[in-house]
Amino acid sequence: MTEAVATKAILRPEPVRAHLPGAMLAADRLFSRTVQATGLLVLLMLGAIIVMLAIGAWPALRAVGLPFFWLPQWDSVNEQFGAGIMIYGTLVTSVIALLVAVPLSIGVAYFLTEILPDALRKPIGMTVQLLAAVPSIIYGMWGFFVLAPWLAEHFILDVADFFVDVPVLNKLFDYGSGNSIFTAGLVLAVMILPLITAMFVEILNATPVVLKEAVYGLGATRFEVIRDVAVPYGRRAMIGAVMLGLGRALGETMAVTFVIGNATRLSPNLFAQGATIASTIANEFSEAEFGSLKLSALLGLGLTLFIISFIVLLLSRRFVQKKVV
Amino acid sequence: MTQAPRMSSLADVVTRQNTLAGTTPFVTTRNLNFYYGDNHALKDINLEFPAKRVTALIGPSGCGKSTLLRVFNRMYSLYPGQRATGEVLMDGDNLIDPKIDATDLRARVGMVFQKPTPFPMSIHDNIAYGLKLHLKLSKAELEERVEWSLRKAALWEEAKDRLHSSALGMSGGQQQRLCIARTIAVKPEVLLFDEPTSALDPISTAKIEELIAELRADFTILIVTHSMQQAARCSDQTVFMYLGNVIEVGPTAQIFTNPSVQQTMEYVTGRFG
Amino acid sequence: MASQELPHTVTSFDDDLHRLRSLVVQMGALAHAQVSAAIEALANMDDSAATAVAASDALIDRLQIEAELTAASIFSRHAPQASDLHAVMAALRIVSALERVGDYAKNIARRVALIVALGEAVPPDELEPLGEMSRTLLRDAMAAFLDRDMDLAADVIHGDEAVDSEYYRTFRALVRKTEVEPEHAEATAHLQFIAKNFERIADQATNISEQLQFARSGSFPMDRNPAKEI
Repeated sequence: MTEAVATKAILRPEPVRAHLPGAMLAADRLFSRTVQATGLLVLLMLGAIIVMLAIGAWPALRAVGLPFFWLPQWDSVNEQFGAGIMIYGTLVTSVIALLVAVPLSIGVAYFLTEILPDALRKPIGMTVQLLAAVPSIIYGMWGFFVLAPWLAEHFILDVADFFVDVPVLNKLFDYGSGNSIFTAGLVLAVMILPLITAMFVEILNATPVVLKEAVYGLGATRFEVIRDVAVPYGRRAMIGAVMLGLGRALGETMAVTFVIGNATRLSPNLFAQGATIASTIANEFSEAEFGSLKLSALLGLGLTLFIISFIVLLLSRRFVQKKVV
Repeated sequence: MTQAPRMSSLADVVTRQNTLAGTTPFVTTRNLNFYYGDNHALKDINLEFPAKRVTALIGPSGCGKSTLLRVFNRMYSLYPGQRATGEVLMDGDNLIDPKIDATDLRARVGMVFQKPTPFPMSIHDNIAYGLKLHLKLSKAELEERVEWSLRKAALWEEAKDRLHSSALGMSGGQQQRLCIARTIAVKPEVLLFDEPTSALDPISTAKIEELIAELRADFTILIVTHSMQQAARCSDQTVFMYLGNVIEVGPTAQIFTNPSVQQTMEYVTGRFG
Repeated sequence: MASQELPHTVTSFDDDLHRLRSLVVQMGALAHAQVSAAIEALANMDDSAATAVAASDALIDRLQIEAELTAASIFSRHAPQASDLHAVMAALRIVSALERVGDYAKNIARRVALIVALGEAVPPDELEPLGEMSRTLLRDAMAAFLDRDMDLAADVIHGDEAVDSEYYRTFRALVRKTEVEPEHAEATAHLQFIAKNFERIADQATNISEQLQFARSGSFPMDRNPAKEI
């Protein structure tokens, strides 16, 4: 019966590829080659940067040895260099920034997604995103001209007084200056807050509607839905967002440089002046003569930051790995 | 057309096993209207839903059956711009009155959705979740209730040896039964099923239809379904809706053998649209 | 059959229903032809015509099987509801009635052959009105089915009474004949059976019209099989 034959023809059409004009095939090949080349180029650039840093840092590393990566010394005169102070400053300011920004971000994200009436969501959401677009140097200036003096006048003294007799804590919160690790941490917090908040809002909104409705259907309140469904569902993505914020904080230069002061030694006092890798490089790069040990040490600092970022990336991937249940 | 006065119809025969006889309405809607913004989606719905019976809502896409279903547990209150007017009476309470707390309402009116939504926890915790939201139970009472729910949902035999393994490891049909168990755990009075088997294979579908037949004994059930066979098999009363209106409501046997309204006849025999 | 104007969304449903309907119509035409041929054979005491009728019955049986299979396929594939369901159920019963009509026609033909074999000259005129009434009723029942004519169907159902009266009259006439001409008792006995077959054909015609009513309304009259006096 011809019906059967006709049906067969519909089910197995002639392959189209065989009829593609030669030009299209060639274009396809060109496209895939170009894409491959671009990918390779990115890898090469990365490799080139690592190599450049390593070569440039080599003299300093050879002079000090492996201890370069933790020695808390930075003596330009005697050419005694070590990354300890800067690593400490980088990590502590970033941690302070996260400790302040993340809880605030959760709160603001919750506020934006659940509490704000629909009409206000767009304008306020856009304002948060605008904050993320502010150049970091503006934050630095604000920190220097506004935050640091205010802290110096109204905050640091009172806190230090408060803890003066408390063991351990009086070392952390000792008398210091407006430009300090603490101030830098706060400025960083304000900087990464919009970034993390915007991502949290998206993550909370990405919870599947069916899942939320299922929990509401059982009689949960808004808060319970966020706590028991939205956050666990988005937990991995939220950690990813925090890591992104951390990455930003680690490498932030201009905002920090203005307010962190200038540290020559390691101090547990959060209110003391400090130094981050980025701020040090920014401050001293112009002074370092070409070929000097100092320049090499600065490049060594750069290499250190690179390594730190890499470690953070690895850690974040481990956190974000699927848990096998 | 000219018939002798005493008639015997197919519907009468089936209705002799009349499953709606002697029932009282448990939920009643009066002048219920629903709006999505300016869109008047439900128009003057006046319906009675008999206690401990299954009522099916059928109709073409967009007729408002899911909208109507979601009024009973006030799911629309999650979305701005959606509102309902009129009365939905259960036990003397108007369910859509804002004075009645929505979370309390949802403990009395449970819902099972089209897509199975197990929480990313163990089977046990899935069921315990709803219980913990509303009830203060001792550990022993909790375990008992979990077992009761799983038995009632015909899932106990399959789940009892893996209560603490993740619910996500179950098959689709099992997950849906888990969602049913989770919903009945808090012992609501009314169960709402929104196309509960449309995402499932035929065997799971049959098991859940059987489950619904058993649940009738304890709950008043409303089910929205696209499958007319399912409505015909599972329900005692059927409501046919179109464009936000109730076109016809009656005992299921009658709606599917001898409907009174031409439109219902056309829909039921597959001549609609 | 299905008296709704709108077509089904799934056209294969309509195609299958049409096929079933045409099978019923075919069977009806065949059954009517068989009855007519039987009446002819009876009137002319023609035993070769009688054989032909007997042979053609096989075709009716084949059509019945095909119709039943078609109906089964419709039930399983399309799950007909409401009016469609009634229509298919009615078709099945009409087909069954027509098959029986075919059998009755065949029986009449066989009896004719038997009478001819007896070699007795027995005029069958007594049965002529009964035969004609039965055939007319059958024809009208099928016409009502074909045209979906509910009034004609109602007439058929009412008309069964007249056939019954005619049957009783014929019965008594044949009994008297046996008393008057006892030598032709056997042949007259065959004539009695033939008369009964005609009466049954009329009954089946009534059945067919009742099924047509069921197909339309989904209801039966409560008193559909009143006890008949013999």
